[in-house]
Amino acid sequence: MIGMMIGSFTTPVTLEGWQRLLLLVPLCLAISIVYKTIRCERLADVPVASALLCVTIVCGMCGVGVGVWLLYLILA
Amino acid sequence: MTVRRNEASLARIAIAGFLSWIVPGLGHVYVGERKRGIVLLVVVALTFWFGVAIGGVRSTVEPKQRRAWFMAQVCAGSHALVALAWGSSWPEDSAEGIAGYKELDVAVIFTGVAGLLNILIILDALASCDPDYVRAERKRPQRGEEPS
Repeated sequence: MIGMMIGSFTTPVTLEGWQRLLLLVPLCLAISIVYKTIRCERLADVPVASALLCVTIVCGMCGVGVGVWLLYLILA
Repeated sequence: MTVRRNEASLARIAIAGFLSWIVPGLGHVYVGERKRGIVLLVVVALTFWFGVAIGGVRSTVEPKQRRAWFMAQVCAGSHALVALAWGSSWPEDSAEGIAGYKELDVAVIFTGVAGLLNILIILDALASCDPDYVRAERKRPQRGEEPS
């Protein structure tokens, strides 16, 4: 059991392209939770506030991605 | 009397800052915000070690190749120091445990962001030494909110 746990940190995983994009979600979630834990007066407000912030960041980044892609298509 | 009180609060600020750096969230526990500190401790640890699990401990925290990211990782305190010591224990000529560049990018971003988040946490722990300031700041309406 301990060997398996240690092994998961010593052996790198292999990621496909879409898996790399999917990892944006936990990263944004971590950023949102830390930010909202610092900002919110009551800790009970943190889950909803951080979920909203996470969705906002992910949607915003997808929007920027689509915008840049469209710009590329127009200019190409 | 005032000087003694200032010295005490300066020591409190210094201890809170150091504890916050060495174990993210511990500074908050020290200044009395126990639940907030535990949440921060868990989130930063999970983010950092999730990154290490993706890239492997040998190549994720690496001061020679990615110096700027290493500076960000070191802000996560003991997490980065443990990962660095663990990663340095491999023999240099061994090819075992070296991540591909795609995985390494993601791993370094996760661990670096965990370190950068800890800068926010350290600053908040320092500010938390003055509870009146923090209370007023947390009550201040955020962007897009109606003032109450």
